[in-house]
Amino acid sequence: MNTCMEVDNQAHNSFCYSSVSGVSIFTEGSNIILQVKIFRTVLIMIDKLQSTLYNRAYKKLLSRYREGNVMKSEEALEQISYMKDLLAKSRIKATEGYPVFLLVGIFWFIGNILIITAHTIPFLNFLWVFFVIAAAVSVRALVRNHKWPVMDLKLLKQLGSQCLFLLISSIPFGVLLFNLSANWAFKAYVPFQVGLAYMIAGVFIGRDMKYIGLGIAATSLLSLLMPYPFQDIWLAVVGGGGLAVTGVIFRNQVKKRG
Amino acid sequence: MDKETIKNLNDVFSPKARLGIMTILITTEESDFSTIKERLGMSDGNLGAHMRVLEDQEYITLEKMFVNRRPRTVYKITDKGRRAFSDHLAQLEAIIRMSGR
Repeated sequence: MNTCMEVDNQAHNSFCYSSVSGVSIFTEGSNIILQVKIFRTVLIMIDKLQSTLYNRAYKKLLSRYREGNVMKSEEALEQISYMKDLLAKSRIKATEGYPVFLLVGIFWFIGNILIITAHTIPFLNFLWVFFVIAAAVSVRALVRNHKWPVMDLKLLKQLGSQCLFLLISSIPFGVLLFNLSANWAFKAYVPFQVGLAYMIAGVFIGRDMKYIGLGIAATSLLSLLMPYPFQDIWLAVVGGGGLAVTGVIFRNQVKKRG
Repeated sequence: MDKETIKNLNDVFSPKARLGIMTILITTEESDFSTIKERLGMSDGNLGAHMRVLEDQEYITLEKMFVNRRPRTVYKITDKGRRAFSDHLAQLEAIIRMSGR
């Protein structure tokens, strides 16, 4: 009883009151028991407080988890359209290849004009070898040194090397199969194959490339109808010149786009 | 289906930057730091931080090399990254399908 009198806070009073019915409060050594009971009550209170706080925190976390993981269809669409835009931006565009079209067109033009003017020169085939090597080295240097826009250059390289392989492998095949030993037929066959390679590349690059390929193939086929030297003039002007003009048009488009 | 979709949504791909990095790498197999930076229009620090997250998740790997005496960091997508990204795309598809669009 004395112990209870000593305790003046509300919690203790209520505790003493509740303990009246108990057996221990008025007995000898009730002080220790009281302390144990107070300790137990405090523990219960802490436990209740903890569980309340835990429940609140859990609910908060749960709602955050749900909010974080639920994606609205608008967000899903936004993510998909972002990826689509990114892919479209990195897509290879034929117009960006204007320096190559321009250079190849000029080489083609010079090559066919050379055939006409150097017709009487012996070892013409050797001259052709040097000319083709010079053209290839120049194009390679241009491709390496030109500052290309950010696009999928790896795919372009793969495509380019496969088209080159197709072209080179088709020449002996054409000679064997179609008996292209005749000069006029061979001269038309090579650009025709280039045109086909461009059309195939157009499947990946786009319509522009397909049209260029179609134009080259048609020019080559039409050249078969023409006798010497008109075939070379036709190929130089329409084939090489056409490609160079395409390069200029593409260049203007790129510059206009900025 | 709803619960599964929600449960499996990959938080790693929530930021657009990481989505962009994975899109580039999944289409090109590998790409260097400056190319990705230019394509996404991001700063070095920002891109580096996102790259580290993807690297920690083992979605990408990096290889440092010298090209013409210049340091070049090339990133590649891993099989784990490829799987995680295609799962994420499937989730996006499912969400859109569920919304009836």
